[in-house]
Amino acid sequence: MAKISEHVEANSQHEFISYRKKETQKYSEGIPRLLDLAENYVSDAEKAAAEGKKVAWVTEVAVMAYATGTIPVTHSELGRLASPESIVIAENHFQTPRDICTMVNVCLGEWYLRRNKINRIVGDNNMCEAFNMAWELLKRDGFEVHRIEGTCPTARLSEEGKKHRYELYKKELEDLGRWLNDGNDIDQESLRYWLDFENNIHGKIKHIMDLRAKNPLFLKSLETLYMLIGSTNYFGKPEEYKKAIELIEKELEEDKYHPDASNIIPLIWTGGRGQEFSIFQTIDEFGGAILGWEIPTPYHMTYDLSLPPIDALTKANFEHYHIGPTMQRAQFTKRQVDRFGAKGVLIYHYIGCSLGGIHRELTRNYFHEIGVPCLAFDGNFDVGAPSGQLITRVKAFMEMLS
Amino acid sequence: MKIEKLIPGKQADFDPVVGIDIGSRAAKGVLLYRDEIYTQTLTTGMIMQDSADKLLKNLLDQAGLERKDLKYIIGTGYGRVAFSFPDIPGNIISEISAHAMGVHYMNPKAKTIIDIGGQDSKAIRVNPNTGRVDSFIMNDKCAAGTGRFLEKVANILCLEVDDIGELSLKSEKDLSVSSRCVVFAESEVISLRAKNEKIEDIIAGVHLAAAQRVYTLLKRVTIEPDIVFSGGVSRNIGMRAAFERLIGTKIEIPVFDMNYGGALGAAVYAQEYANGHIDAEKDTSNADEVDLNPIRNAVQERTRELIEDKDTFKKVGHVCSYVPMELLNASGVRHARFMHAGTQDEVAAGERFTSATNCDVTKSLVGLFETGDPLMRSFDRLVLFQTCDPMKKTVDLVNERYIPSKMYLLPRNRTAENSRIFFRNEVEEFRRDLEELTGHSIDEEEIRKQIHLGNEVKALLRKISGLRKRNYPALKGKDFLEIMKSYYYLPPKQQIELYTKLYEELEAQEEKKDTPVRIMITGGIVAEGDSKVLDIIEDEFNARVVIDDFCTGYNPIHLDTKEDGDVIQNIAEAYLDSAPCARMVPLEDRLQYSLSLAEEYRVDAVIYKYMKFCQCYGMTRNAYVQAFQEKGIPLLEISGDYSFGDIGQIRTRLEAFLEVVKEKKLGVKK
Repeated sequence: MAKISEHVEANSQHEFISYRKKETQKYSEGIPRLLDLAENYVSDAEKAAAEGKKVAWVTEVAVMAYATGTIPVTHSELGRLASPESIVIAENHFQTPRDICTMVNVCLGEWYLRRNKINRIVGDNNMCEAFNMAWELLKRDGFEVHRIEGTCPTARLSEEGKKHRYELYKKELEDLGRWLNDGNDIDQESLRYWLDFENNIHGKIKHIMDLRAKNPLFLKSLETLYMLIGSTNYFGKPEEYKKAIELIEKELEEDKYHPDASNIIPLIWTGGRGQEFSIFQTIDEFGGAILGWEIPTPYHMTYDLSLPPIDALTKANFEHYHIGPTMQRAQFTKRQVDRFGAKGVLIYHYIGCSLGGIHRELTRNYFHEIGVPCLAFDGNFDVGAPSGQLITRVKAFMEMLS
Repeated sequence: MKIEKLIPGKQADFDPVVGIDIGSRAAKGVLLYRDEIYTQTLTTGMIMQDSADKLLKNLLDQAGLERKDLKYIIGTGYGRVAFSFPDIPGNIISEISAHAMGVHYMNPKAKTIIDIGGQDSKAIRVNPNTGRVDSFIMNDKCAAGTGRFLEKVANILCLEVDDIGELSLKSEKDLSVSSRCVVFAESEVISLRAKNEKIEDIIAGVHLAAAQRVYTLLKRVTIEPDIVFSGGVSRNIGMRAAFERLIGTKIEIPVFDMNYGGALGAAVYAQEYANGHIDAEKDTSNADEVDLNPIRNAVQERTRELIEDKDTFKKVGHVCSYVPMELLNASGVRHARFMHAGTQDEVAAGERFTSATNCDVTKSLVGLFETGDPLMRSFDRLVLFQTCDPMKKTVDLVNERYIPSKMYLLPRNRTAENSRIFFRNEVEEFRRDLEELTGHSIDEEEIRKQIHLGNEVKALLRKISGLRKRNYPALKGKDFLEIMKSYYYLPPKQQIELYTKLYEELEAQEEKKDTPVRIMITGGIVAEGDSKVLDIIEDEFNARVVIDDFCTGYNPIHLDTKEDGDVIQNIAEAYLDSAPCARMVPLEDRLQYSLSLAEEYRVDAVIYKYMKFCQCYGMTRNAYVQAFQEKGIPLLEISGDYSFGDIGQIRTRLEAFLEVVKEKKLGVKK
């Protein structure tokens, strides 16, 4: 069994981040900077909005926001902020049923609590039903919501059908550009600049992920997740984010801090982003390292800049595996398993996510049939105190693989 | 005990009347006679009638009376349906009405009631002038926020449930317990114990979490003083403190033990019945039977053909009312819509690939394939126009494991120009796929012909539905659903023949003068076999479902399809413009449509019915509640699944709701 590090009892993500900042300051300049950016993302964006800057809640099209001079705040960030109050607001003010997933309840509550700070929301119709309904409810509370019609390739789609879906998505992105840009067409050169910026960031991330495979304990699980999440939104501060990951890249290249990882259990993570620090803490403490990630953040995506910028964006997002058929995603995950020699797959979804339920079972079935051990589990979007039951399952899985 | 002792200054002179409340944990009885009140409680036994008999005997002994002396008896609570006292005039009422009256009797200023029993929690608005229920909300099939929840937590912590309220008041630290359900709360409590948190703090957190559940209900009926706590859990001072903390105002608990609130209310009602203030006779007038056998037999025959034919024709199963039937008919395939409420075994089989938070519609579809249902397995193809995400994933699953399946996208932004152009292309893709499946092209004129036939069918069905605008519709709601099933199975020409005949028969029936309570059911799918709500409304309480605002009811026939010009564009627009599903944007369109149907069919009340775990209709339920409240139309929401485990609770809600609606419609004799 892998050696267990000293357990740190943290009751909130903030506590855990503080602890990790102190720990990583001992050997890294880049990681604490990254953690600072993640931690202050939303509050700094809200300050910017108060100063009159353009700020909007967005999904995975942060690049469009940057190209229009808008600071994007991604919906997934709300989980990190979640207070017990947010769930209460969702259930009391919005009267959401108890069986709705924690992610949507938390987001609804947090949006409501922040309704006078950033009240523009970009909603992607491709997201789950509950989110789509949530945006309609938020409109009734004065939020300005722009809906992008969701399209994606699905099983058995003809080339002709694919072309039409692509065209719709392109038009929808153009409309989004106008919405973000006060009714004006998006500046194509600005969009090209930010696509190129993201390509550059993604290149560095991929390099870091390769270096990390050789030195997995330099950047631990939750920190890696933050790095990936920031790879499209840059936590609202593109240059500072770039600087942080350049430092991390350099530090990994210099290889000055390289803890023994000979007994490490390589893992792949698939599904929701999680952000429950306790799960990642447990994985780390039990000698695991999540080396490959199949999450909604498309950190591996490269925009084809030989195309007109709007086409480059449309094509990359349209073909993003995460919104396609389950098997397409499972096969991506399988390639990650092969690439990193992973011993197991963690399939994560939020409690109450009915979209994730069947996806999870299909994925589990797929890995079961090809003989890759996997653990499917549901977590909370509101990152409160760890759930003992969940941690026990993760621990047992790690013990099984060690 | 003298009533005056409980309510100073109260003058009472009751005939010998009894109220019996058989709850899930305890059976309670109250006998009122002259100015005295007698009470008795027992643990509810396996045989409810035995509990009721024992209670009655004990009450009569206390009062020195015999059965023949009793003027009236009222049963309430979960066990009420099993009551039988053939030698005593009696009736049954819902415990919601009973608690409201019980509280009103003890505190006539009461406007808001918190009633928590062993397995239910309820928020009730009571009319301070009459003691009648104005509105109420009840927990759904979940123990969080009920007495059972507190009992379970007490067991985990090795405490007596009677002690935990007082213990919770000693807490000095706020602990968060999410209490999403008893099981999760159990896990949380164990985690908190493992962290050496103090028992009193954990217990206080549990009380606050349970109160929070009920507080959510309370906010939905509007909280207004006096607020009175009733039911078995009202004895728990920790719960009272938790409510006072959440609401920020004092909770009244009468001197009388409100564990007997329901039985007392039933006894007060018994006196009203005895005095003739309420008409005890059940409304038994039923409309003429409608002969649906020709339609039923035709559907059966068509289903048999689908299953037994192996080679003659291609067969397509479809999911969702947005699948263009005109194209299916024009292609020559045989087709049928999946609209079956899975049996317990089918739902269980579906759970192999679904999670606990998927609805039973999803589980049923998977379950039918898993169990080798001959109809589903007979299809060459399953198609879906994107209903919802779980269904999208289900079609993915069916395609991977069972039969070739395909999903077409259905834009949510239904009025946007981009969507209308795009949806035409999706319909065109569907046409190409049907051509590939059948091996022949689908002629534009054939499509036009099918659009025309389809319009004829829809017009006939609208006429049949229109007869439900009569005072006493001959057609029951569940009859109309059966007719609508045939819409998805039979070829249009056969439909026209059958529906014309049916319309003529119905139209010829003499109109009755009776005016039953007219109900609209709105919300998500009501599948074939999921008729428990309709059965209770129409068969047990003689109300009528006069319009069915959902995708297996009236909605798909709401609008005609244009016949001239670009037929594919016409089909695309007809489906986008038809009665919107809750997933379509904007939500306001959906609400306006529902309100207009309610007005057109002159409904007295609305039942908002949706599948447990249905995100579309679950998330938007409050928008519906508000929309109908603004119009002054009472609305009751019911979420559920395909099991029958919740039928008692559903009956209680419907009974109380229909009592309120009926009183509103017909007025109360006082």
